[in-house]
Amino acid sequence: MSAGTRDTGAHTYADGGGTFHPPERRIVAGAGIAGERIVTVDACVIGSGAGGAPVAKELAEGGLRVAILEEGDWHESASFTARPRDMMPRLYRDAGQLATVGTPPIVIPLGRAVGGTTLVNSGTCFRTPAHVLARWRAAFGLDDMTPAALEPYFRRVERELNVSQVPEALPGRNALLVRQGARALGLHGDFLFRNAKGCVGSGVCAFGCPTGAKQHVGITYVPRAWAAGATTYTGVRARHLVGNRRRVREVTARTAGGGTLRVRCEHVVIACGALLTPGLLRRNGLGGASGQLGRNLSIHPASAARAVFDEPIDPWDGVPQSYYVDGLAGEGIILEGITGPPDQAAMVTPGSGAVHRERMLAARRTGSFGVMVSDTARGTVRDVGGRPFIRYDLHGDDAARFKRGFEVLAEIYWAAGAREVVVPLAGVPPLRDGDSGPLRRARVRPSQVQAMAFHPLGTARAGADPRAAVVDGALRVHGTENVHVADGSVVPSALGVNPQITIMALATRLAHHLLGAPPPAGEPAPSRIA
Amino acid sequence: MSALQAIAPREASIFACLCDAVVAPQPPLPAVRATDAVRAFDAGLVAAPRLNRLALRAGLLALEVAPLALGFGARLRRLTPARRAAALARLDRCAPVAPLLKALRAMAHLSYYGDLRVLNELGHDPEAIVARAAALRGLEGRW
Ligand SMILES: Cc1cc2nc3c(=O)[nH]c(=O)nc-3n(C[C@H](O)[C@H](O)[C@H](O)COP(=O)(O)OP(=O)(O)OC[C@H]3O[C@@H](n4cnc5c(N)ncnc54)[C@H](O)[C@@H]3O)c2cc1C
Ligand code: SF4
Repeated sequence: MSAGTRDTGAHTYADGGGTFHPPERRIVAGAGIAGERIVTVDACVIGSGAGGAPVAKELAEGGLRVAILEEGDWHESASFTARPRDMMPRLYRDAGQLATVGTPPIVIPLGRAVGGTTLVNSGTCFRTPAHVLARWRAAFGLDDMTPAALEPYFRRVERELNVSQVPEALPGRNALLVRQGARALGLHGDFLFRNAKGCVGSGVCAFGCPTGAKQHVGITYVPRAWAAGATTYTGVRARHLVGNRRRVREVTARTAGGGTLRVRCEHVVIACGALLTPGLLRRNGLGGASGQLGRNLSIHPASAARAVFDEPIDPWDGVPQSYYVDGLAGEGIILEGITGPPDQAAMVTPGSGAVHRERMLAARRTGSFGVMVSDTARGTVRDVGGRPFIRYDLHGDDAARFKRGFEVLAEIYWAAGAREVVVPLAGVPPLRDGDSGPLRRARVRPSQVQAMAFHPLGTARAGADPRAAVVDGALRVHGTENVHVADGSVVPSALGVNPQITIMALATRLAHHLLGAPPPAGEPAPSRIA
Repeated sequence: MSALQAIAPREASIFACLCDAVVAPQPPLPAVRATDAVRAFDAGLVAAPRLNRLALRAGLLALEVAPLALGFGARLRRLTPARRAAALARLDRCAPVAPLLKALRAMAHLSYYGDLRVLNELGHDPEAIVARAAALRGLEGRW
């Protein structure tokens, strides 16, 4: 187990890391703004998720006056019910019904709240892999994106979020069985690093952590931004960037109360996420010169197999995403835990009528684990009537990778004692008694893969060449003087791992650049890096 | 049941019928009418984008009459459970409606299995999670 700042989530809440209670909650609800309100700040940050919150906090602590505009609401942990069915309409954009158009249709859930998607994510933290950074340097001219140059920013993010490894007591039985199976096959795996503190393994990270243990940016970065004087406007949707093509002077937003918020500013940082930032830029005639805006969408498609055991494993007990197997990382495949309460499982359990019922009655004995594929396909997103319209077709090679991932996962589950394994590939029957033959023999086409995606990236990609990228290496929109982007859209290629701390580190770097400050110094060194 | 906001009583009745067909509850699982599945479906639609809401409502109405078009001789709600299951299986193979049926089925499963009694029946207790969280928040400076 690791030591020092990346120790487990068992710290008390008084040790200064992670969760932070500011003297004042500086929230202004847009629902209360019916007329016109004008505010003047140094920096207007649009979006309060993985990208927006860190940049806002760093700028505010650097002495700038900051306004954070967030379309969603502020939610208290005390209002979380631990019931996916009831939390999804409250915390997710479009009640979690946003999906791609293409083969196959793929649901891409997004958070819409203070904290953005980090409020509903699983908390897994991976630094940007070195080989990915090497590609960014070679293909996109992002010369200073080296592991060493980004190290101080990652260290800062990891301290702010109390990134720590899942302790032995919390992974849940499902993950321990996968560990047992992976070890038997000689496949490398480990407990994941997560932004959690005082986690008790209640298993509902994706539906609002009721214990306040998940250190999402809404309870870490945003309160620290408040303490430094920033104000969050909730229930406001930024629509217009007013100025000329080089310099934006004002952001105007529609409020939930039917009014208008006008934010006059020196700097605009757009952090609406990879599916919404392109629409905002395009609507305002910015970022389109390269022809790349809204293109190059990678989504890191994910799917999960279910395995039935003889004894109860209560898959909803423990951290839902606690363990990973990276023995196939060289092939662009990573296996990560994904479990949840019965209602979440019911949605994705195959079958209908009696077949589905019998599977659900075995829910206590049924584990599940995810396969994520670093995609070769690229999609597009454009704004249609104020909503993202996403085109994406799964590539045949990626369908083959899903098959390969499921073959290995089935072997892992057999080695752990599973009786039946069900893979979400249409036409492949349930696998029984250690026989993966039907899966091995199947020819899997993209249309057969039932997938979701949690990591949209790349739609306003960074790159030195203004003819090939939307933002430059400093994340400034090419051709503008004071418009920057700090969210998943700038990530220029698929990462192959979960992206949140990559986005946060890039956002922190942007803030330091805007402040003209050197990289953070004196951050504690982790004893291990995920 | 509190008043429905997104769906009409007829659509609620079709959804309950669909729910019954795709969940096929048997003891220990309660009947659909003994759960809050319909109310939860309605709440999901309230938060959904307008286009999705319209498509799902239209899908319910189409589902009701589709068995007539397929030669089953009656509307979905009037079929026996076995004939209803057969009609849905046919619709699953019918390219234009299959994606909509898939979406409605997923929502029916989510709505039904999210009922508190059903969750408890399967061995999951969200109220205990919430109570433990409240106790921890009382003891420590959590958000
Ligand atoms: C279920 C789930 C689990 C995940 N698990 C993990 C994980 O374990 N590890 C990991 O690394 N990643 C995970 N992710 C992904 C990760 O959370 C996202 O990649 C990350 O949060 C994206 O950051 P962002 O800043 O680009 O956008 P977001 O975090 O989505 O923030 C964008 C914010 O901008 C707001 N906004 C949008 N448009 C406007 C507008 N016009 N005006 C005002 N506000 C606006 C949105 O409401 C939102 O709050 C998960 C995602 C999901 C859905
Ligand atoms: S497992 Fe439970 S306590 Fe831990 S972070 Fe997730 S929701 Fe919170």
